[in-house]
Amino acid sequence: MPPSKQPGPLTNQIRRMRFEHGEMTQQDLADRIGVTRQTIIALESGKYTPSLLLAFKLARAFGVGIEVLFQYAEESKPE
Amino acid sequence: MSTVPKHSWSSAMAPAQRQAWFNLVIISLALGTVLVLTPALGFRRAQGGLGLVGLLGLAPVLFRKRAGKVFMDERDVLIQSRAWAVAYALFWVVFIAVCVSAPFTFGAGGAVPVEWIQSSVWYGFILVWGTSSVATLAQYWWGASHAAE
Repeated sequence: MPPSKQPGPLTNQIRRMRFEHGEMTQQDLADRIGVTRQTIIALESGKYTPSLLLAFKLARAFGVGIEVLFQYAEESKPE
Repeated sequence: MSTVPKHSWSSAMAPAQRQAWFNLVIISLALGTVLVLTPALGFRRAQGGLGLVGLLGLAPVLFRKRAGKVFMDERDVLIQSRAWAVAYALFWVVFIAVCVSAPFTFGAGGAVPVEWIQSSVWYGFILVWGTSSVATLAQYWWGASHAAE
């Protein structure tokens, strides 16, 4: 599954991770890390960039490192 | 997809979204009442319809935190703080515009009717709460929020 479509340089694998972890629902994940389901939806659709604390909570919920869940794409600099 | 459960209209929205809709309904009801009553009762007496704004006080009861449910997370807090910033910024713009333009309306030595000053408190309240609610809903619709900028 491709990473979530995101407008910014930060992409995430939350949706893919949910399906790899027993098809976890958005509500299950939200309850696990203490956010609303709407925030999970916003994260997956790339409409929200989480705080570092929330990013760590998400990574821990899936038992992976933060760099596995989030990828930062370097912006190309004009020469 | 089978893993995505069906959600009701209310659960599809964050608590802050529901509260923003509630605020807008109450404000619309109050302003609508004033508009309907004005032809029959006159401007001054129709302002009594603004008392319906007091129903906003029910929001903390209707939208209180439920046991075992997340009421507000970091994104909600961010959206709320931005919504209030927008609301107060607009309030000051309107307040300054009204004060500066008053001499052109009433004349440099004119008098502002006292009932207008009294009503301005209500309308200022409506402006701030209404703008905050609209700004809250707009941010939930369009997203594009970042925890740290």
